[in-house]
Amino acid sequence: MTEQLLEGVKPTRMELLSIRKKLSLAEKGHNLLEQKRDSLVERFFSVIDKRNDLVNDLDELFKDAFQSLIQAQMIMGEDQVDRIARLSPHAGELEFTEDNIMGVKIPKMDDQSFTIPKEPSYGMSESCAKLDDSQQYFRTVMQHLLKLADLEGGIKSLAVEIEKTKRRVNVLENNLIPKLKATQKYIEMQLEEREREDFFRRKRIKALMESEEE
Amino acid sequence: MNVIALCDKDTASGLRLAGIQTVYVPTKEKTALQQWHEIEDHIGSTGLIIITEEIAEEIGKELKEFRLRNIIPIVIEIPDKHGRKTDHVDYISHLIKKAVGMEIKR
Repeated sequence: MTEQLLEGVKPTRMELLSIRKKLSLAEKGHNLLEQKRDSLVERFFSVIDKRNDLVNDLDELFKDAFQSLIQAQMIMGEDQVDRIARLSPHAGELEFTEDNIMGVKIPKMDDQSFTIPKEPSYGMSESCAKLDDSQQYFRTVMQHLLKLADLEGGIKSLAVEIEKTKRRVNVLENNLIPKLKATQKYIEMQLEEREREDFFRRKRIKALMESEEE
Repeated sequence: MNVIALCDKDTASGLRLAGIQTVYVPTKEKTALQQWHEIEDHIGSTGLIIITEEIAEEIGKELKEFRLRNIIPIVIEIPDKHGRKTDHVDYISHLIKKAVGMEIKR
């Protein structure tokens, strides 16, 4: 690829100075952004690990939960299970606050008003032990799901931010900084060339004047 | 904010047992997509949407756009009674792959 210059730059000393300033700023910014990206990725990895463990637990739990639910349905009939399920008390609501990690806003879940009771929500008659199991399982599943949702919300925001930062780093690294460097070189060469021309011209004039005096 | 779910009938029973009472179940008359639009109408009061992988795949395009637009509600995908689908790539894994540049094994 040929080196591209910034557009509309005249080879003057003023421009050279301003480009030098821009270049040092761009390099500083590049460094900072790179650090930001690295620390975000580090953080991202730890969250991902947590999330993957949770998903694995959850998969096992779901298997058990569905098994006991299906057994309960077999014993009591689907309709009866559904009726009892509909009567279980509403678990409550969630609140969200914002957490800030290196300028990234991450939704943080507040599940204090979300209560999951321990006792069965139905009477002893007309139900079976499997239904108890299944309710317990699904309640545990729910608790895990809340944790998972909290993590995944964070992962999403982090991923978006990482991509943004990556793009910025890349633009600086592959576009702006090379352009600035090329322009700086171009101006320096132009100025040197002009100096050489000047020097030669002066020499020539001197020689001419000397020959005239003689 | 509320927790709601969009899932099949059996998962619905299970989640109701755990206290999630706002559950949308797609039927023949009302497809998953229609249900989804109904959910979209009141996202202001919703904090968490639980959705089975089966349905998530069915409304994939809408779901993706929705997730790009909104941070809250958070959407999470759960397996249904047949277990995790092997060929389904969930959104978070997809995000991870995009952000890190490679897949991270579970």
